[in-house]
Amino acid sequence: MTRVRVQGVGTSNFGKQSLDAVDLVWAAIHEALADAECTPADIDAIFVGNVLAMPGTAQRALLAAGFARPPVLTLENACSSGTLAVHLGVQSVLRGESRRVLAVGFEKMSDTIDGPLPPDPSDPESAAGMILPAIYGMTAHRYMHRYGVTAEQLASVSVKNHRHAMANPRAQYRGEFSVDEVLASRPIADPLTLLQCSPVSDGAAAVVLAAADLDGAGPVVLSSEFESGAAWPARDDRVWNYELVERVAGRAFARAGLSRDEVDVVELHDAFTIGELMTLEGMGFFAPGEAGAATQEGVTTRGGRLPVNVSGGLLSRGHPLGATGVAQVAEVTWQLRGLAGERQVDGAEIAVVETMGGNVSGLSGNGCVVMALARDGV
Amino acid sequence: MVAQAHAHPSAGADGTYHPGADGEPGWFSGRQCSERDYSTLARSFVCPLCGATMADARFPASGVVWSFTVVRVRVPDRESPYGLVYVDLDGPAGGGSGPRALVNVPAAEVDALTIGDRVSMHSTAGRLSISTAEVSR
Repeated sequence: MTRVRVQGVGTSNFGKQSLDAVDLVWAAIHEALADAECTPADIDAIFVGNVLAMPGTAQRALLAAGFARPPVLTLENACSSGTLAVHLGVQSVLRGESRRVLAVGFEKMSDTIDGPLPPDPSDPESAAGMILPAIYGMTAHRYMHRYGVTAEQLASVSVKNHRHAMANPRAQYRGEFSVDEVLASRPIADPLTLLQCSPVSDGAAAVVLAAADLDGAGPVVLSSEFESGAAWPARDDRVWNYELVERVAGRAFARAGLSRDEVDVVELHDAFTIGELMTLEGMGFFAPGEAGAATQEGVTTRGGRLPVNVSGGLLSRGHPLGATGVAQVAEVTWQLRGLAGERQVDGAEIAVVETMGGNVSGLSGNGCVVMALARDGV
Repeated sequence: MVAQAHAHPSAGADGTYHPGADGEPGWFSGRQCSERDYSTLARSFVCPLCGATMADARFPASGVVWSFTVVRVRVPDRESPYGLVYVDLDGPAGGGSGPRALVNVPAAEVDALTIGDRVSMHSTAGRLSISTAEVSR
């Protein structure tokens, strides 16, 4: 049976910067192709995740990087656009349509966005003022009420991910913050403060995926699952996104034949602090309401039992929407190859990536990808 | 079949709050499944749970607070801070459950709320308002 290998990865720096989309994409592709020891001529198809760019930006950036003729598929699925590009690249190789593909994610935000993503006036809840920090604020308050999750537990996610990013030279923000400093940062949407929200970022990332029987080395994809949201709320008390992440993660673990305690490193969608806690629970790593205390105790810190977002995550590495999912795959690839430098998780053999995209009223999320990868030879 | 020009389709009501006439309680215009216990304030032609046709429904402007937030960051074309409350609306007169409504209210009103509170909505000078006072039904 065909298996898919991550042959090479690359990223730009992350953060507000002068480089435009073409430059950012080139930085990522150049590094990924060199890492995979291949050229544009070796690539059968290109899958691109992006949310905000003008139509044609991806093709223009790819042309500059030497790509012409092979099919370019552009994908928009909110925050999971990039992960969806990787997922569809994996499926293309698994189905035998391609032998080697490139998945790219990119976003240039800082020239048009200043603050939260502007609400879409054609969506009824957005039109009523529901920006993304607000719906996560809703979830946070519900969690505090239902499970007794504390503001300090929420803040500890931010403290951890900013500290993790100290070891990531490409991260947007690096810093030692205390819980009190996180809570005292500017209020955004109660109870979430500025340091609990992912920033406006520019960046790109690329991965080369190939049939595992081709020459080359790199981690193997054990499973990759994508699903879209169900009607929300249902007649239960699950918070927004929970149903979707639980469903997709359940399939991904089953397909990979993995149990939760076999996972060595996780990169997941921490666009807001509450998102990391809720996602860890939805993925089955903790019982509902328990991820906050575990975070405070250091379980999810590098060196703990389950290191989560050792790159700094979206909160601190940055969150260039379309680039994020591909950057998550790049990070776990470096981890599984032992190339993560000062942020290396010792002996990492199994990694999981999760990205949630979504903002549509009445759905448990637009779409979610969960992917499991193993070190070469494991 | 030869395709003819469409009549205007209707996804029906869109979650608008309607003040009651002559002191009557206000209501929200929404949609309800003809078969399953599914209701929404969003536009909806077909039930996503069962495929049945959705019909217009009136939901009372009262229910239980599911959660809330106060938006304090600057949002384009809006005045911050403002309050947002998710209210699980009471069911319509004909039976079934109400949808979860997102209501935008003054920030100060949110400070007085707790999750699980019974609340009602009304409009004051064109602005939606929320309070824990019970409406007579």
